[in-house]
Amino acid sequence: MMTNANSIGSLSEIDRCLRDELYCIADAKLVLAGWYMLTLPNGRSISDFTSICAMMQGQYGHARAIYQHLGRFGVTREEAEWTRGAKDIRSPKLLDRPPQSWSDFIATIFMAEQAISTQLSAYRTTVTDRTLARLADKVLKESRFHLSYSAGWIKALRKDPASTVDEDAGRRLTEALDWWGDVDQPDILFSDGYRDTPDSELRKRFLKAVGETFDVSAGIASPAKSWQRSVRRNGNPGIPESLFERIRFKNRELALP
Amino acid sequence: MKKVIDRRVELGGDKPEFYEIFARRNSAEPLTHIGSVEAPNEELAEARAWFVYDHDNWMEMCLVPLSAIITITERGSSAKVKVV
Repeated sequence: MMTNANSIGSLSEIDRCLRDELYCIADAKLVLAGWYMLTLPNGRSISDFTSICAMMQGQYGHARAIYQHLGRFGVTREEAEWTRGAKDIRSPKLLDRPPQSWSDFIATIFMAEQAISTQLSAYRTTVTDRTLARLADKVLKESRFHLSYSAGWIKALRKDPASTVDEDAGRRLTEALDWWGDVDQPDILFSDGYRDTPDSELRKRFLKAVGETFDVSAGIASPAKSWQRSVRRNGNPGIPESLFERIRFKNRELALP
Repeated sequence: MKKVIDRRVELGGDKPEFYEIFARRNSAEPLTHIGSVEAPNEELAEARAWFVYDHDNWMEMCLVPLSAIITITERGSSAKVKVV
């Protein structure tokens, strides 16, 4: 069972794994919200502008709700939102590279929303943490419309013979799969009943969902050896400094009531 | 270079269509026309409708393509129910 730890050092292995994975999910939402914020002026119409704005708000809200849940592991709001630097952010590699075009933006948010929802869906039935299960369920219900937005745009973009959305998606898929870089590592969140699905199955579920829209056969790369479950990445942890500078919360007094 | 605005491209696609939105807050209320969105397909219409008309916590929301409405009093012309 989960412990209400007051300090990080006293966490059990399972609590540390759950804290790490929730950090990865919340940070993915934080960075994705930053992407929406930066892309907002490019909305193609008033209703598009409103939609991007709403998705940005949604992602910030989800990230902060999950950060709040991390309080169970002794993580304070101060730590989650204010004291971490670029090297501490655990968002997927998929969101490191800024959007190169409108179609690349659409392909990326489709992959990111799909990946985050896939991972979170495995917490909906957890009986070991009912608060987390309810939170996951609420976030997933709200995210449905985010997926409709990107799916609708992909369909619309494909009407143009010069569209590059499929090529963009192919490149982004390889980056997205880095989130499930080495699914053969021990998965104690599944074996201890916190997730109802192992990482290996979640990767397949993600590919199946993406495969309904894009050709996924080219994007299935073999796992790299340097993948770390705690950050769900290959290579060094953290996001580029330039990205962090754009998306970090800057004025604390504006954010806190 | 002067920017050329192509409204069809900006709205996403070759044939944007109006979708009429109906919603109700609870089961005691009738489904009521609350507005319209323009979109090139159902998925984008669904997302835009949900995000634009989020001023209430809707129990039910539906979309109807304007082209699907059969006019009676205005037979021969399309329905004119657009409100924004």
